[in-house]
Amino acid sequence: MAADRPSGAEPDSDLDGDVVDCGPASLWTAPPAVPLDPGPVDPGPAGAGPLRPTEGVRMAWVGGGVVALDLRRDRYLVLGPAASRAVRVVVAAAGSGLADATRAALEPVLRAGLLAPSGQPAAPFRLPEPREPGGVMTRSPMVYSGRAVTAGGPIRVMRARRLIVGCDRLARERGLAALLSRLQATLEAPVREAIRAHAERLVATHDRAWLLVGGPHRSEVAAAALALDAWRSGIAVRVRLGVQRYPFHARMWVECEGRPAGGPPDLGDRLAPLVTVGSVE
Amino acid sequence: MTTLTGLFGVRPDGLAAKRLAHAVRADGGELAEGTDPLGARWMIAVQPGRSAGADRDTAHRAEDPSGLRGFLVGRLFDRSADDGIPSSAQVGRWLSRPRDLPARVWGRYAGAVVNAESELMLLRDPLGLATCYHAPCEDGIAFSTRTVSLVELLGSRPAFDWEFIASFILQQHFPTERTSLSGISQLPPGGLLRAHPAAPGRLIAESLWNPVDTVRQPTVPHPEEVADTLRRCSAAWIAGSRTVALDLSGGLDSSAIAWAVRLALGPERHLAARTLYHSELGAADERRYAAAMADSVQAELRFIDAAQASPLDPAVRPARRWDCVTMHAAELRMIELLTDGIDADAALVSGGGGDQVFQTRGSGPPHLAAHLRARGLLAGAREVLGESRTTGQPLLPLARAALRELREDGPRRLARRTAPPPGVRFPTPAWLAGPREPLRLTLPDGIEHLPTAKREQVVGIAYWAGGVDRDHRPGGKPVIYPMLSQPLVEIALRTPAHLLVDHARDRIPLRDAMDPVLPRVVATRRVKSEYAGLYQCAVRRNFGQLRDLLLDGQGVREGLVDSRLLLEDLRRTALGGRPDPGWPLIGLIAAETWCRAWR
Repeated sequence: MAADRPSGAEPDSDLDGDVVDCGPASLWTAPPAVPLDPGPVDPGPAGAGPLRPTEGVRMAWVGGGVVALDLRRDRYLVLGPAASRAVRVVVAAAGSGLADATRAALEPVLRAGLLAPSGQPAAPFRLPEPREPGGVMTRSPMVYSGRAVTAGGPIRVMRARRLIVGCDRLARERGLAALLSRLQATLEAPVREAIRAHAERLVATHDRAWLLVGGPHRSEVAAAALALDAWRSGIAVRVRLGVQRYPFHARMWVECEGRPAGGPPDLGDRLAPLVTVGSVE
Repeated sequence: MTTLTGLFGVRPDGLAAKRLAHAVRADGGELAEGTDPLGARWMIAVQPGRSAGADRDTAHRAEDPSGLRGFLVGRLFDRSADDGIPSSAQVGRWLSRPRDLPARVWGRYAGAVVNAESELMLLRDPLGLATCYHAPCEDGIAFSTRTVSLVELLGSRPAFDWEFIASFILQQHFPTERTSLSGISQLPPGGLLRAHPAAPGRLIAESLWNPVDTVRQPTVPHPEEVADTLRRCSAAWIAGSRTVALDLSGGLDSSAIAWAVRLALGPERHLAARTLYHSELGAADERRYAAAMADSVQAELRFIDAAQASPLDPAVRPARRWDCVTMHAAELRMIELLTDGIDADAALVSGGGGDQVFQTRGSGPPHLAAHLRARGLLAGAREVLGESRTTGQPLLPLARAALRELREDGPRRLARRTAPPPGVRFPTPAWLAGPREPLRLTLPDGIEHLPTAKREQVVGIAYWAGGVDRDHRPGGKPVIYPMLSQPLVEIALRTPAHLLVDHARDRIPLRDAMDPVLPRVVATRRVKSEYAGLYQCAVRRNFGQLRDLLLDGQGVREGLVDSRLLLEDLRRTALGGRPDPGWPLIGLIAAETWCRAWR
């Protein structure tokens, strides 16, 4: 993967063993429930199943290494080069045997509780990666800015505002995991069709509603509220959370017919997808 | 760079005087000297620089019938003549009334003269593009435009000023009279220092020029006036140069400079443009804009891939003794490549400073308050709504902040205001164990009485002018910043704040002036590139060297830095795990590189 290896990212033993905290995934004010370093973890005896990301942990390969979202702690983490390579190898393996070198490289990852024996045979998988390396222009405006000229009427704007405020409170009080759970639960409502024009109009409506909300604009809250509104209106969309390194940036957005509803059109290609909620076309 | 060095009020047979006389003999410089009525000696010397090209510094000897003697060095342009470089005789006459100097000339200069009353006057250009340092020496003072020359005169290097260095880490090139060496001070931009023979060590500070006075004469610039001033200033800086090398990003500022420089050069002379990009970071790729601009002005364009030539690469290299801690010390490799393949006598030009002079977006409530005050409630409210929609800031808090700012900027409150103006600083990093509160900025008198939007402009210009690249390019040539030309800065300062930035556009006078002449793709560009990843990749590439530089560095030894927390920050940066470049960390790298050179 020379193409998405950042400059000078030749194996650098100085950084190999690192698991580095990149900060909170939301504005969760509660203390993390799980400490970053819970102590020695045994990868388990042979036969305990292959190592896989622990429940509540999502991983992606971006910028030549692994970025993890630990929903239990509400934190993003980046892994050093050797640890990243080892994670990539073990999650792609069907068996549970570990070479000594891999075991050593994985130690900080296991100590952070990011991987655990699956307990039973598990299918190998490939860590998600961005389709286009290089990331997005993080200074570009974060608002959605729908293409639709007209937004919904005042009733729809007020409903959007209520949803934004609700999602914001949920993310603040209980973290990103709670927000994703709510999205997952709402998704079970039936949806009818994915009409892009409707989705864009909804984006414009939420754009207006944001003017009436206090606090900074956050993509997780904006996308969650927009998706909830879309699903309730019967529009099939999906929510995606992507991440990049160099510099670190995480963003959640809504896709309709496979393309972002509002925002830069190549958003989905330039970020490594960590979470997807909703139907995948 | 031509160096001005001198002594005032020292012993005639003292060591400092002997050192200076020896240095002048060795370098083939010029000397003006004398003895004051109390028997103390003064000497003012000019030592020629090595840089080639038509844009090199000139030394003007001041010899006035009244008895005034001394030198003024740098690059001076006559305000009354389009292509006017004043004669030494003219400059000598003008120096007899130094306060009138900014009204007659502009440019990059520093001077030292002794008048008929044996009074010393040291002066520095209004924007501070040149430097002038001074320190107590024997019973008088020693001064120089270069710290290294001053230290040679003093005989030993003063201790590092860790309070200053901690402030540099938090604020970068902040305007101050202190320097990174204890006991060595610098003249503020536009400063005039006087010393009398009766008390040669007691310095009286005055001001040659105050930007606050310019702000208080508001006028609305015409786009043609802006374009014409930019063209004339650029032409003055590069006059006589056969080749001009330009850092071209394809943004508004560097593109405007490319246009002005091409007009000044004419079709025959060579314009070489260099554009930095990173082949693996999409956010730092401006090639298409730069290519459109280079094509438009027929410049020879070369792209430089920062993946191969990152700043900090190699992080530890033999360093010259720069005057003061500077961020350029951390970017030497990148700087070197920007001049790769360029003739030694080429003029080096940058578009830097335009963001501060004409102001980029981002100040929010101060500019909204300016709109509300100048355009009335209805138009101001539309501006608040537009700002909220453009930036995603919630409407009501934004409106409240704008109204609060409007109240604060009321004429009566401004007249009573005594609070210091806001500085520009980064959040204090966890690893900074030394002074965690930065030093106060040295700013022009009366700045606290300006509305916030204009204060930000004055502070921004002072910051940028303080950090210009004076001698980091190969050959030690200073870079030319046409945006920091005095006539252009004065136009921008006189422009009311609401005409500089609105919710849809920034740098409005410059944008309006350049709109007819720039390619559409450049003129309509609304985004700036993001270089945070470039610095993070550079930290990763040089991680081992940087760890050694910082953990074995002076900062750790002096207790300025907590090594464990620093290493954590270094790792997080190297693994691309932060959203910003980590400026305090880059500042510390620059400080350690500087300290190493001076050890």
